[in-house]
Amino acid sequence: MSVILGPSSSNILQYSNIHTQNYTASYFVANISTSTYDNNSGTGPTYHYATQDIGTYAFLKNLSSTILQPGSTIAGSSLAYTTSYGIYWEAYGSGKTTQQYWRYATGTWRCMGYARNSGNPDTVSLFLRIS
Amino acid sequence: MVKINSVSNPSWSDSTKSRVDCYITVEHLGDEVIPFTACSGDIEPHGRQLFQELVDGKYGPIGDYVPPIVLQPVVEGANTL
Repeated sequence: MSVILGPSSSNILQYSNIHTQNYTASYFVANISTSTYDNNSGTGPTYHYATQDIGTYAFLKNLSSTILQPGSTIAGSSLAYTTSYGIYWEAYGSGKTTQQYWRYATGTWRCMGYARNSGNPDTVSLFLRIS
Repeated sequence: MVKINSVSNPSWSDSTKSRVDCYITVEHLGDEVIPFTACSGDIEPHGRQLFQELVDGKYGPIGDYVPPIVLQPVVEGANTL
């Protein structure tokens, strides 16, 4: 499905909470928050993405006992934000390596690479939030 | 907002009961049953709403938290006692 947004007779167009979803070979979500299009300046609409939004990628560590492959889906509670080496950033050099210091993800994520179930840095991969 | 079609097997994700793991189906993924972590602090509104509904008992009792199995990395050449 494609959506074409164009100008109207008004100089300012208001787009609010438009969600488009395209299910072809890969999953894609465009989330366009409230924004304006100005025919005079040619600016907008503006795309707003925040960490953990659906459709965004994150660099996460696999905390589960399962080896993840490309396409695997996993709950956010088994994933945590990480450095490329597989540790929680604020724990770096502090010895805080226990799980209470991890910043966990929420929702559902699809693994976009391989992530082992133990050891650093092989537990780290790129993930896409799908729900 | 994401439309959730079904919810099953809720259980606490942690000992502090701040998150709930469950399985859901959502409209944009069809019949695929996916694992989901609901949290009151989720940036996505459907995650926050589902967490509240789970806590309110809409989908039945929430199972106890089960600590994950921690796998220790294999260290080659390590000495053992």
